[in-house]
Amino acid sequence: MAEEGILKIENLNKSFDGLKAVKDFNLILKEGELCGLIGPNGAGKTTVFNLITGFYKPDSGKIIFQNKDITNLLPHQIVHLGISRTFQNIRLFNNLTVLENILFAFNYQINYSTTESILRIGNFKKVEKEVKEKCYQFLKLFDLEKKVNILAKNLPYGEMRKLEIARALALNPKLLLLDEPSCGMTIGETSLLMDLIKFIKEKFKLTIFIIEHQMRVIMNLCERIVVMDFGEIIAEGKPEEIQNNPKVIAAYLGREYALH
Amino acid sequence: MINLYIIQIFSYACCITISALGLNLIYGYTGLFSLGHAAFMGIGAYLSALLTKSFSHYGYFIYIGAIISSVIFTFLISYLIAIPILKLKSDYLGIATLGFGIIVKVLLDNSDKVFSQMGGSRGMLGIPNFTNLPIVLFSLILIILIMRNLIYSKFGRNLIAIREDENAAYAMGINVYKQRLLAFALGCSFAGFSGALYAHLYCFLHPSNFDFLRSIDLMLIIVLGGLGSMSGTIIASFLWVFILEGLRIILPQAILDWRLVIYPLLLILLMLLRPQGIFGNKEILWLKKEY
Amino acid sequence: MNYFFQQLLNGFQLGSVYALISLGYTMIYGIIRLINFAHGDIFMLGAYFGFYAITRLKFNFLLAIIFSMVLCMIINVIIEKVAYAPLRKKNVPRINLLITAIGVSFFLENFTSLKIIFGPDYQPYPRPFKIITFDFLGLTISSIQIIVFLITLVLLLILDYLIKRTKIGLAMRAVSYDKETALLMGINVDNIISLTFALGAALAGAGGVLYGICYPQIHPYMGIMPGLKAFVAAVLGGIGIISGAVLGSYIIGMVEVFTAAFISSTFRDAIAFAILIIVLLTRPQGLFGKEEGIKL
Repeated sequence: MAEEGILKIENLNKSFDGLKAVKDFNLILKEGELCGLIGPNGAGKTTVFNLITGFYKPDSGKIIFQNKDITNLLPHQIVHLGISRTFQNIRLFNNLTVLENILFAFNYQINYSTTESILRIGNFKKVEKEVKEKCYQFLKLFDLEKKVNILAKNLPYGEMRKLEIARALALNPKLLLLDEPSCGMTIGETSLLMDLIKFIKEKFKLTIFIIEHQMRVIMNLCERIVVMDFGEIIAEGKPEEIQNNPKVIAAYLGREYALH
Repeated sequence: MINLYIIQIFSYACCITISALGLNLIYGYTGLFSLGHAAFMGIGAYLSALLTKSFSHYGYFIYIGAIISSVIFTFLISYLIAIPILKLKSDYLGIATLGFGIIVKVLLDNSDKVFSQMGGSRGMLGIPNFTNLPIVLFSLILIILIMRNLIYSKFGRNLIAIREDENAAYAMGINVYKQRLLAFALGCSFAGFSGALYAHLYCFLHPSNFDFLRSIDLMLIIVLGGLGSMSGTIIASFLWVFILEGLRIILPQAILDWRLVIYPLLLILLMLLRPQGIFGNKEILWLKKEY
Repeated sequence: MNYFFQQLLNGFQLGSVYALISLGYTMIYGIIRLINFAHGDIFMLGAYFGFYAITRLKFNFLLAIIFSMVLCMIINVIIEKVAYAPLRKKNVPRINLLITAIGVSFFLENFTSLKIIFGPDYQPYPRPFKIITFDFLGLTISSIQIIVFLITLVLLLILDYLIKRTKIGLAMRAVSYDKETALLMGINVDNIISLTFALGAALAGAGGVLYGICYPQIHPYMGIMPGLKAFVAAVLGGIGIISGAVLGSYIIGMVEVFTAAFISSTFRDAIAFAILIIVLLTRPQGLFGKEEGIKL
């Protein structure tokens, strides 16, 4: 019972051209927890995310989500099963508006047929109206409803991040992967971000797995932290344990990286 | 006489517009760089002509049947071709479709060895003249309607998402590969449709009507009109047909050949001065809507 | 058996001409990711300049080739500065550059076929040297073939030396790897790009003259097919890779000649593109190319 988790990663391995990016990665995420993934640059954190979400295929190992083997599924199939993510370098649809970005995320949950959309019969009009309503409501939750017609690329940076997170949530996930959400943010923006993450965890009842560099964020938000270096997990535990773990300190200081 | 001539040119422009809209669906909306679009027109044209000539005693009914068959056949064949080809990256996709177009032309050139009716490089004659203005106008409006309704729905959004950022599209639950296949096949079926109409308009087919230069013409039209704009494609198609024809009439015989020199110069100028095309990605009138 | 080896020689001859065209495609793609549709027409111009040099200016053969190469270089650099460079500066999407290249191609073809320029008819090509045939091991080798091989070899060696052993060649390679960094290293990227266009044109121009000598009929649209096939050859070898372009060209040349000789000459055009499709489906990066991964 204790070993049951929403996400189970077993012996995951991935190499690129002979370089081992992820090595013997094992992890169990418990449902509803907020887990952090940290490590120096190049440790393999985003690669783990890419493996979980199906953008890369592992060389060996298994990924099991809610008791389903998702190891070899394609990215869109994994989304349908309930995992969504954000990207390190924000992949919004820059030339589309805020509303459109969210609308497109709600797309896969729409289920009228092609014929219905061409002929504009049946459920079409009703569903379209409902979806647009849902978008507005959703954006309201994130204080973006006044910016619906602004192009995504014209938003201030902090709001772009917010929109990307909102978009990931529009996919109705049970597990949310956040890849360095505070990247490029000011102290003030980061505080707002932390509040946002706490809020969405409550509101949407999510499990959250978050890659971060800012220690402040990690230490304050996460119940559990996993530390990677050179593709392997070198430590795992509660924030206080990790802070004083000599291996972790060596990994960071060894690369002259300052802890916040 | 003049009126009939203008009507024929107008009908031709409608055919080209239908084909160009298909290419805009493929490239403007989905971002797939296809340089073999005219080949699918050719497939539709020759297939429909073969059917109407072989079963000419069925009169009008075989014409309808031929058109439907052309549409279905080009849809299927382009879907099959796309399965392996759409795994390629953009530039390579263009090259592959270009190659496909050339292979189709060579096959058409040698078609008389299989079906002597198809005439090979001598051309195919004697196709019954079923296409007239009302039919071609109706077809164009039908296609515009279908395309508009598709674009402003779940499917159009999927395509645009794929065009904007393929990885983000995957991350949003879109089956990118399958949607691309469908978009490609649908766009090519528009071309097949247009080819079938064209065959019964001019009643004569030649493989060179569908070679890669024609594919390039279609690409030019949609870029000039504005990628991702239906209004742009429609207007650019008509402008292109009428200006080229118009130049042919206006220019005195002595400098007639200069129109083929002026046309590319204008093209280059337009690329320099207004690269997004006439409409960019905007729409006008009833074609304008929110996603 | 003799027939087979004879065709081998013919294939080698054709491959040599394709190689000279193909190098221009591959270098330009390597440096600015443009499929230069107009390149085949530079080849055509080269043939015409050679024709003019031999028949009107009464140049000898080698001088005609050099004349043609120089003129082609100048024209291509002018085209680059007038049509492509302004677009590159404006940062337009690549499709626009491609369309401009298509426009240039159409312009060159149609302008050349105007009656006051070269005219649309086929021109027979002069052969300003004696054609001697040798009998060697039962094969007939003509001096034309030897000249084509030799000139191609010399040009390839010069290009190789330029690229691998000079500072300019180093700059060219740097720009094709990473333009921004090359710029930061103090390389005048614009000049390097112009130089690449010039080199490609010179080779294509020489190829044009050689083509005229071998297959002695030229016309304004002669560049389309060889241009396309040379491009296929570049893709086959790995687009952007010089050795790939050369190898690909010889393969395409051979396959085309053998198809015409042993299967049917109607399919000689299609076979190059069939090869293309097979390559793209099985190994799209080409024989010498490296697979590109996605960066997420």
